[in-house]
Amino acid sequence: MAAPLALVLVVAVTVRAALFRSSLAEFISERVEVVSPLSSWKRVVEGLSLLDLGVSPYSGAVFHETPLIIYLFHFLIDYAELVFMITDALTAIALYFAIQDFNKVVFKKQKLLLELDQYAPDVAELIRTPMEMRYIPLKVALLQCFPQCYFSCLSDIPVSVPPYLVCPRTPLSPPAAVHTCENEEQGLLDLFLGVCHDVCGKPSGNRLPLLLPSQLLGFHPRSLWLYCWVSPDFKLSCAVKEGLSVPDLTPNIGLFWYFFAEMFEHFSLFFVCVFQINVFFYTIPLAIKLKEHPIFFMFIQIAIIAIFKSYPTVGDVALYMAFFPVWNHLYRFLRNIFVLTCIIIVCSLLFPVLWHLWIYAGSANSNFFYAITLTFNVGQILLISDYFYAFLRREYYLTHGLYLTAKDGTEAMLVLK
Amino acid sequence: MGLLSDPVRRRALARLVLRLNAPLCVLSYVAGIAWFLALVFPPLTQRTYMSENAMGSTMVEEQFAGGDRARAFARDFAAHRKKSGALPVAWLERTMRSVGLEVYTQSFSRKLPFPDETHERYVLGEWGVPGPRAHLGGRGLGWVSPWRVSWGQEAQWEGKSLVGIGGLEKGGLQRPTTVTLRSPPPYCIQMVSGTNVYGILRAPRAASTESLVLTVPCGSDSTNSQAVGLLLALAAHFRGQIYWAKDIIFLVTEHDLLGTEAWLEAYHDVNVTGMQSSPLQGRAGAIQAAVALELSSDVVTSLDVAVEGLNGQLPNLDLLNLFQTFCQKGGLLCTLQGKLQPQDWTSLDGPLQGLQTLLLMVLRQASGRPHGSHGLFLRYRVEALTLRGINSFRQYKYDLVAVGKVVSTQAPDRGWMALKLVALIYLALQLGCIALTNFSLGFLLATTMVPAAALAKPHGPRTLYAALLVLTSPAATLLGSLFLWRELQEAPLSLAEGWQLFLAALAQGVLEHHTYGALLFPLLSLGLYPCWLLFWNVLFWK
Repeated sequence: MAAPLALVLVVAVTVRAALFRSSLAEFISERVEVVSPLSSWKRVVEGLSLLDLGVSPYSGAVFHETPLIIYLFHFLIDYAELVFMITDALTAIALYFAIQDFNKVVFKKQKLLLELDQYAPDVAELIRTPMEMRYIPLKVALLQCFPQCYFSCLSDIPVSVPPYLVCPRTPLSPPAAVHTCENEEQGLLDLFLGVCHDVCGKPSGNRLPLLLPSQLLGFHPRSLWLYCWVSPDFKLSCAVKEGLSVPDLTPNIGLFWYFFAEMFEHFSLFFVCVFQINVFFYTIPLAIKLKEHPIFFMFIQIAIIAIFKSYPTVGDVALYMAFFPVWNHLYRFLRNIFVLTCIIIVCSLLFPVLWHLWIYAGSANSNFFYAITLTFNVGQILLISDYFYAFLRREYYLTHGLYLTAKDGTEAMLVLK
Repeated sequence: MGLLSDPVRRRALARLVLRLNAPLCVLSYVAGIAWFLALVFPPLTQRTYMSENAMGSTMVEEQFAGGDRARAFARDFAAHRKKSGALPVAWLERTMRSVGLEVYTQSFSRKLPFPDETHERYVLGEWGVPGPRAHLGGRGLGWVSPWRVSWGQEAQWEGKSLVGIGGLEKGGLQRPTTVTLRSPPPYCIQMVSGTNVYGILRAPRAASTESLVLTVPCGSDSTNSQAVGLLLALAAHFRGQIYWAKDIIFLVTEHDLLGTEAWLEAYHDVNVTGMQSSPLQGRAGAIQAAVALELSSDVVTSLDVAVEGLNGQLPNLDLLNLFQTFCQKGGLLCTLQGKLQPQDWTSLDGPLQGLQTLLLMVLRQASGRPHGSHGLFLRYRVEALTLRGINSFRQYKYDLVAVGKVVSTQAPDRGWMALKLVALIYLALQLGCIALTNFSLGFLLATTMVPAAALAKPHGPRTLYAALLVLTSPAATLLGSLFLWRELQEAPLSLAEGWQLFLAALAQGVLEHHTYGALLFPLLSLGLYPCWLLFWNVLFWK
């Protein structure tokens, strides 16, 4: 499988390089759907120049990244494009191997359960075979490379950098990784999330509660130590406050900006808490329900973060969409996939149209743009809940058989309540 | 979420919709068109009213006594223009300075895409009418080149003059007979260059933070010299007033729309269309509103207001209403689309006239062409209008509209239903996006394309459906709209004329996309034409 992967990587790097050189680069790096105040490359450059001038980059309201990013790009500023391309390629490779390992684990587990007769007798068509799973890692790598490359690599950093740092932890720390993979423990999740926390830190503000179901304390000292080493006068509160308190209300594809633009100061703290709770709130129930399936849990959690975080971008959306091939055996149980695909495509097309109408033509206003944002996020939420439902349904069928009958012998229907 | 998660209810709803599919489609189509056309009738249409009284139109006094001076200026301008063959920049500068304005000039140049003599055929101005201002009248002018060509030779018509006195004659337009060009150019690129002249009247008691623009676009002929005269006389009159709160910029542009675009781009310091222009030396703050004047003769019987701008943008309605209120106050006849407001609603005439005006407006807006310099101001969020003085025996004005074309593709063999689904979604998406930016264009395309698209299937009377699809293709829609537009203006076209006009329309679409960034041509050729081709494929599925 090395050759197709290499081909995919070569094509991806070429496309990115071509995009960087084209006139599209400037155009895309200005779009609000692609950059957010938290992740804009322009702001990083601004922060770096402030650092060069001896001023703390956090003194203005422009720069909101972690110190790690600043120090990393301080040395790599001239090669920024290369860094993005390399991290994207490495993310693809890492995802490829991670999913390959995951598939092996899934297959092993399935075999074990089959031998133990845990499955109902008539679920042969639901069992996954190695043949169908063969191309999944490649597809994941493909999906990861291409949607994101059109957007994030031109203007965003955190979306390409953390996945790289997230995913390779699995192959690069083989003992721990293999161990966790084989046992599909929460430990795997912890590893991913711990590193996420390190890199993205509090500014994205959302990964913190993911550590809650895992060995939380084990990671905290590490991140704190990292921060202290990196920047002695770094105030944790700076970056934390930014992500949590949402002071910058530039429109984006998320749900926060509109509400907080029209809210009185008096109530803003309350509503900030309410909104931010949404990100963290689903962790514990999902963790309880999906404790046997941490990878699916991670997928759902990433999707929820992409929807509810304070400054989402299309890069975040592309990140969880890269995982769809892993769950394509759930396709037959998805109920609303057509409607949702239409919603997402229509909204993606209408975002630039309504932005143009609002800002340039002046014949629309923020309500139009926010309507599309709302529709897009509703579509995403429905998509995630559809996948969740499909997953649970398949699990149910596996243990109780495909053709369910009610007590009186008629065909029963499985309904999610 | 009951509907999305409850399978029983979903199935029931799906069955209901499937059963009523055809009636529902027909009903919604008919209801949509009827609802739009109902705008013609009294409960949905209103006379001129002011929606916000922020403009304070009731508190303004109108006095202007400079008529003779305007005529004198106009005569001088026309004479100088004829002598120099281009805009008499020095004379304009001198006159504006004598009137008391701060005068600046700006030179610009632009490469045009059609280099050879067929370009001359296509740049006859609007739709085969010689010269952009020819419909305003003028005296026995032959064909006029709208832009001065850089090879220094002049083109001539052989044959009769095309423009009568006082506007178009009742029989319709007379077609040009032949064109001969002396020594066609050896170069491949045609460079158009010119100079804009503008003077700023500074408000005596305000900081120069906002301004208004009064502009007179001058083509290569002298048909707008009366407007220049009026502009200068107005400048002299305004100079004597002390209560201005904003600066006023008096702008005279060469090559009309090209010059206006160059000036606007330099003023706002952007480069949207690849124009090369010298930077502006003097500015007057953010432009709040602009009025463009086009007067062909010194006697005006009515004023026509043009509102449609580039890509179908419209200015604030209150500006139009303000103007109409002043016209009423001053006893001047004001027309929209060349038609008066319908007075009687009891008989059929009123609604019919209203319908004509509505359709003319739809066609004009759908074309996405800037019908006057004001159209270019709208892109910079400046509310702008064009006022055309009409001196004619007729009450109706002519104007031009273009409609886009549709593209079709051929589809592969199996799964024609899937293809049709994709094509319908694609069409709906495009029409939705188009309707958001330019409603008239979206409406026009939807009216024509949707029934044909819905009916396209491989079974059934294929030739009938094919004929329908061809009739509603974008090209055919363009042709049809040209005929409709001429009918509405009561100057019907013969088939040959219509075909010529159609070709001219296509070329104009490309040219405008190149010069002003009009979106009609790329939308139709790159978006709707492939869609139409998909439907064609569905129809001829094997």
